Amino acid sequence: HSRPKPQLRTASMDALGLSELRHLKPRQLLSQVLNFALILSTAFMLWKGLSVATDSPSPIVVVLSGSMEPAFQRGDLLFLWNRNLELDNPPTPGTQVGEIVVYNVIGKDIPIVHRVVRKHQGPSKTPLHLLTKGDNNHADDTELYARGRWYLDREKEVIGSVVGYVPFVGYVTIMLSEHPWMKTVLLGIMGLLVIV
Amino acid sequence: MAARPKANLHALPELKNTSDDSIAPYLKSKGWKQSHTLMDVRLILGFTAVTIAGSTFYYDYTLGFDKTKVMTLYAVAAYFVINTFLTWWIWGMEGGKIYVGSKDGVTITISSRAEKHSPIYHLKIVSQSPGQRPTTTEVEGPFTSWFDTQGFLVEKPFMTFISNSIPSMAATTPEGQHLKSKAKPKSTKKA
Repeated sequence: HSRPKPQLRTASMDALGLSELRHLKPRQLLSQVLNFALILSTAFMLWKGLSVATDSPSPIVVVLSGSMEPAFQRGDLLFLWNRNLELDNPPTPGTQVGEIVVYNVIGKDIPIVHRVVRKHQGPSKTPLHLLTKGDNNHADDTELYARGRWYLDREKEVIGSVVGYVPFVGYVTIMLSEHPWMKTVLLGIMGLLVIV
Repeated sequence: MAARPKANLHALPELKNTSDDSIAPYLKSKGWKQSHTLMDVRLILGFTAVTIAGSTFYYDYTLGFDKTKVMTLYAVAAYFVINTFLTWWIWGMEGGKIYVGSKDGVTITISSRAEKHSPIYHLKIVSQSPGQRPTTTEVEGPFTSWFDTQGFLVEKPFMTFISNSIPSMAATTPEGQHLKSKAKPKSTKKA
């Protein structure tokens, strides 16, 4: 197999200040890169696995507002389950009045966590329409819904019902999104840890 | 090697890894040809898994959750199957092996080991000559034999240790003849 001309390669690498790379074998370098990539991809695939298992695009969400106090506070982490679409035909009841659901308002990416206060269903099983209201709000969510709509479509807009929660843990993400400079600090610290 | 290998004298993993890494270049200089099959399989498996994860990310990002649900399910399943196999490969097949190479028809496999809190380097060398049954040699030597007080690896004693450990080299190399008693083979058994 062919070998690169040594003089040309080393001369150009010295010029770029990369002469140390000469001593790195390609397999060792690839191995290091692989280890790093495996950590990232395993974390991602675990998230995707959970997403597929719960059938929800975002199976874990953080409570962003205080509209569900005293049940949920800002910063609580919620676990969602999106496989209860059996739309109220016995024996498996679907989403019930009183359940807490998470939905995305069309056009905005903010998940809203509120309680189902009313539901409407036509003669066929779908679509199931829900009316929601935050416990801590005076009015129901009609104003939050898309223009001209007085209801939520369970299949299309709701991303899941809450089946469990961990208090306070999600506050870190709120801090990071409200104070963007913290992201830079965090990345800087992580970068330092890798180099040193 | 232009850069002198250096290890932290108080960190046993570093001493072991530095010693491990120094074996391949030395053997290469003695005419041994290294076989990269173990490493290559590991890299191929690993990067296949990473590619699956990467393309899952790409399609999910561009097409959204609903359209890619089924594809994601298969991708996640495939990813974890490959990952499990990769873990087995690293643990079972590679497990401890730091060098596989051949010269003049003789194939050797070197595995290394260092016990916790013990500054002794253990090597297990399986040597297969053509037409004969493989022999296993186990040698050990203290790290202090080839690391100086500042942590640099001193080449001569290390090379002597290695060449005395490999049966086909111990008989022929000048270092082997000169310092035959340096290495202490624990056992030489025919597999």
